Amino acid sequence: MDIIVQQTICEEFLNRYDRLIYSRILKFKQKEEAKDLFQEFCLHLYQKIPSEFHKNPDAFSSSSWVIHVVDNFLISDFRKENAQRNIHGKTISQLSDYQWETISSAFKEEVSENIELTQEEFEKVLNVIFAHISKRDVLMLKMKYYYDKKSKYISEKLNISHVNMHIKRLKAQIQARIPNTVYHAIRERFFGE
Amino acid sequence: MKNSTPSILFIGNHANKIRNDIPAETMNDYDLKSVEYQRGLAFKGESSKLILNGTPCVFNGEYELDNLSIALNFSRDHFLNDSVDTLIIGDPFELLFQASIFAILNENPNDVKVKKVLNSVNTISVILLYPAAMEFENLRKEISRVVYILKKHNVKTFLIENHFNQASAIDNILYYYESDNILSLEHQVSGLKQILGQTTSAC
Repeated sequence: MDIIVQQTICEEFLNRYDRLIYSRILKFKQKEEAKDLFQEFCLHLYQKIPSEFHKNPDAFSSSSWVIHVVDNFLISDFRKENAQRNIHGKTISQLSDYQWETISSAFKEEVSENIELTQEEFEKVLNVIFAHISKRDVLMLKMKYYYDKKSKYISEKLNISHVNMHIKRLKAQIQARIPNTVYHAIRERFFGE
Repeated sequence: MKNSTPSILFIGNHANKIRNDIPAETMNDYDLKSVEYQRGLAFKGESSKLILNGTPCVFNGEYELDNLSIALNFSRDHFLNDSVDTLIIGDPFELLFQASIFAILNENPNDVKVKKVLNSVNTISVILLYPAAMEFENLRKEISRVVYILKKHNVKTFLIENHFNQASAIDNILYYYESDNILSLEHQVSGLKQILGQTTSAC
């Protein structure tokens, strides 16, 4: 597609629907975030035009199509966000090393096998771990080790089979990703082993 | 070959982008005018602007045919001189261009069928760029209203065909343009088709 034609279509589309697009984004996002997202959407739209051009001949004259495109864009944005927070069931082994640096950097000077974590450090480590595993896994760990619930109970409540095996794997993944000494401290305080 | 100083009015994004691709020498002998629309930043609540010959004017309305044509009708004198031959260039897909045509011909976009009250402006001719979004069926309905109005006022109207480079076609048009003999343009410029202006008007 000729670049002038692509620019013209994009400009005209934004001239006609920019306020509609922005108000749609504002329904789901805070003002500051909406501003960035609106600009990202403009870019997305510009790139989308050549492929949509022949596929959807009536697209540009209906506001319902605009809403549809914006909603899809917002959904994929939510997905991206969720993937970063890892609340949709990604395992710890899929997390980037960067996310674990927070833990490692806090304990760079560790030398001994057995370190003592202060309550504040202990909570910090737990928070980082919980922030990077799925909500369901967090709940499962808390039910098991914080509230001392039976595996059968957890299995029924969370609809998970083989709870013990699941927890074992989860612990192995955590151990693989954080410094050994920190893991030992956690194991003692949280897992009670 | 070339006639003296008529105005060339570039309306909208498409026309003004193409204008940048036309060699400056070709346009030296013309009085160049332009109408553009600058979108306000939605997230800053900024108002939009109509840029008439490079001068920005605040435009508080929505980007809609009615609002634009009223605003442009008020400022018509800034971009059009009825006593000078003017060649209007634009893409009928753009609302700004459609509104400009309604404004120039003093027509109401909501009631195109009403009998014309004022005399037609007979110093204007229109070159339609091939619409950027010709594939979009519903937009053809919008375009048909403009074409109807142009026909109603018997405005000489040309269309540059799709497979021709629009910039070089305009370059050729400006080279051969003679206001007294504009109908011969069709034979002189390849890819240019006269679509209106030979027969009697619609009303």
